[in-house]
Amino acid sequence: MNIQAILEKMNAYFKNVHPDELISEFEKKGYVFEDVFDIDAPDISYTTYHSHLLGTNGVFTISKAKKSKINSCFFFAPIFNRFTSCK
Amino acid sequence: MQLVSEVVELIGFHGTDAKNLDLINQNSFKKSNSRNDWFGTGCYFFIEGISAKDPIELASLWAADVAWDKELRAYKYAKWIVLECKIDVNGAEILDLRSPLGLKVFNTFREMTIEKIFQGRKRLKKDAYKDSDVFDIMKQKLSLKVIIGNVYIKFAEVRRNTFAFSSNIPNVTIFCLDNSNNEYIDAKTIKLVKEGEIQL
Repeated sequence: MNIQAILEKMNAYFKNVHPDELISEFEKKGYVFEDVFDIDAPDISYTTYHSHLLGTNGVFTISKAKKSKINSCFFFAPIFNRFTSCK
Repeated sequence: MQLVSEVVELIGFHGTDAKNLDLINQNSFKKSNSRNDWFGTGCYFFIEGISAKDPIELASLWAADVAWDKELRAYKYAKWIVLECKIDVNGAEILDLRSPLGLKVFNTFREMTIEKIFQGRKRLKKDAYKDSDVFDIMKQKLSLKVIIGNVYIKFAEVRRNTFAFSSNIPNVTIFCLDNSNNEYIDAKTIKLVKEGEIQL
């Protein structure tokens, strides 16, 4: 085994391959992928008490992507919450 | 700088149906395409390694094992053979998983693959991952022709003696050859080393 030659081939491959090309290789083998919208998102959502248009106490997640203005954030505000919080 | 690798000679033993001898003599090895195969698609050979049994015996056990058709509940063939094959392959085309370095290369390739897919904002939907698929992509993209490694095979004699038995500790050494273009096995070097018959 010529480990140096294999490592060079591997580094060159990953340097040049586009993610879509690799995804397509796996799809040809029958793999099913789901979209990841938010690469840097925390694993769990957290609750915020900030006021917002859809009410308060909604489950609100924000990603680093949002902070860098790359992607939109995701906001889940149970409408039910809006009414209960207005009592 | 182009790296020059020396040619490595491997001697492997392949157990199969005796009827395949004519095909094999024409250098037409049937490729295994199962996703459950250890190192992806290719022709598999036993070699000298970690087993207490010699590779010829392992190949004969294998040939007798795969004769049994689970669905039909019957033997597909009764006569089996073991062939010795010599394979000459460039060192840069071999990934040897018997060494820690070889395992590191595979682990790095697998991790970088997952990372790259994630960069494309995708991840696997269901737990359907098989190492053999990564090996296939690795062989294709890195021009690897041979993957050598230690694996666990549950032979029929173990299945007979202990019904519910599984292990993560390898018991045999094998290699998988991507012989798609029939360029790595010289038909003249193929030798019939053992033959036998299943007692029906």
